[in-house]
Amino acid sequence: MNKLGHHGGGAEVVPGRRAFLWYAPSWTRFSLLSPLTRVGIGIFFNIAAYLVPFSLNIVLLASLLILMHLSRVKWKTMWFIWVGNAILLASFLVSYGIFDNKGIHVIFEWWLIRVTVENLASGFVLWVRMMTTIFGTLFILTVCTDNDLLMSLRLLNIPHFLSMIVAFTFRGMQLFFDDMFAIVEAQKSRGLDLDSLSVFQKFKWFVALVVPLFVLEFRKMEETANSADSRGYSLHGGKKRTDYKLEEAKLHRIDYLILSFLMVLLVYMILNSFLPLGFNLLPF
Amino acid sequence: MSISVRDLWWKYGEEKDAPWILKGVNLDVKEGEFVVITGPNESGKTTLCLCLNALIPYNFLGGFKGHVRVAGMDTRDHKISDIAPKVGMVFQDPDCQFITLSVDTEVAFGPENFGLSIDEITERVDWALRAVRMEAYKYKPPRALSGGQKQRVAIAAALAMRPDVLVLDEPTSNLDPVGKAEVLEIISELRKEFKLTAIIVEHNVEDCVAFADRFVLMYDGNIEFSGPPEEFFKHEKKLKERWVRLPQVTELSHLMMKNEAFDSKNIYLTLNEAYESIDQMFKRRQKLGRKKKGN
Repeated sequence: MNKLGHHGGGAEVVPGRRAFLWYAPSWTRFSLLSPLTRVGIGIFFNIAAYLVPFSLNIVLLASLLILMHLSRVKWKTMWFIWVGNAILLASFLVSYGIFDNKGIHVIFEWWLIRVTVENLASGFVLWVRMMTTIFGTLFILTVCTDNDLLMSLRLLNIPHFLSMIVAFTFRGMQLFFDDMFAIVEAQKSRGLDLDSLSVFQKFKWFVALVVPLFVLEFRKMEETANSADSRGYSLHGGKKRTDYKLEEAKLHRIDYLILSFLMVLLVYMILNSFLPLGFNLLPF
Repeated sequence: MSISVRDLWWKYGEEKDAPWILKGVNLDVKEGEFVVITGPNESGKTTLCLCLNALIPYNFLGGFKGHVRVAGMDTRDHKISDIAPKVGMVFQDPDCQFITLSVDTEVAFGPENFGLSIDEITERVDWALRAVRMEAYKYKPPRALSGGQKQRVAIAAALAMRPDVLVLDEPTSNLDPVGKAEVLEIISELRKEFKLTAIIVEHNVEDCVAFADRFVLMYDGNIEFSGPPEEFFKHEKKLKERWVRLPQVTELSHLMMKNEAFDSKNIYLTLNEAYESIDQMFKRRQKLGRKKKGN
């Protein structure tokens, strides 16, 4: 029996938390870093994807996948990402086939679609950049909780009311989905058979639900604002607020090192992209 | 006087023909008193609670007349943030009260606004969570809590501000019977220890009978009558007309008073009172019965 009282199997049980649409580990190696550093790593990849040449982009994407693996994310639980990736690639390739007719080396041609080696290459390059951006965002969502995202805003000394807006948005989204699922379950218990409806009918049904749901959520947010006010929250100055959790999220030496390194790298990439040729410090 | 409400009128909306929700409410609450406000729906109970911490008139558009003084401050002359350290409020819907994304930050939210030190905030958070028996959930997100747990966290969040007055709008509606009893016990203990004034809006008065100093009946925007429990529950007919459900033992005592065979003149508020009184009654009858046999 292992520490959590499970018998056999051999698989390690990793305590998880609900991330956006999947379960992420509660603790990862990256949890030792400040939330700002974790967010910074994800943002670095998002920006760098559009600044570097294709060969480096492959390296970036591979690095991101390794980082995701190090964060102990269960790839099986993210099957929808893989399905989405496949659909995205196919759509890019078809789009390039339809709209970009400049290629010379034709592989396949039918009606509007003209698949050339050049089209495929362009589509693939764009897809790799998109994947780097998507996985960069997924990395942030995997290694950062909602609270971490708020803490990283506060570490940047962003005015508190802006981080409150972000917190309210997160809370609002949670309440929205909870209420939506509750209504769907209630309607199902009253005989609604969603599975038997066509895609168009399902869409119509959900759209009819959205307006009253939004009205309900706005009302709830108003009550939340009253709750904040009744606990002394003052938007227009007033006493200086203490930040209870900021101490835990403060940057340490390792965070400064990582962030400095990433910033230097980013500045180099920007200069390399936008300044005239001849600036290249490195041969790539 | 902890709270003084004088001739309070309030209506939502500024139109001339908007109906008045509160119609000349007068209420005095002493320091350390435990007051339960009850009454049917739409009698103005929640609106009155919103007036006590200055949310009305600052956060709601409408017509306001009269005065509300809380801990020496008139709500018309002070901002909500000035009154907040004195009045803690717990709303009806526990989901709507959760502002932050974890229990500890939620409870710390009020003290943070007061600019207290981190050590002081940490101490208050731990104390408040212990008071509502939620220490084990300190780092949980709101998604991981049941409705009753969220309500307890809301109470802890209000307690962490160490207010003089605690106003709770149906705080036990989402709690199981054990949870209800615990919350009311906690409020009662805090009241004794810190001289906290507690005002609770509650439909189920039976749970509050053991703790309340005074009950207030609200109907149609005004206070019909108020008094200590033994006086309040004498008005059986009036309370039933106003859809207030009496405690079952109190209903029993009214039935017994109407039946001459019982020779009962007392109102029972709790099961123990009823048991002791009925036990005495039977013992007296047994004595009488033995005397008659002897003769």
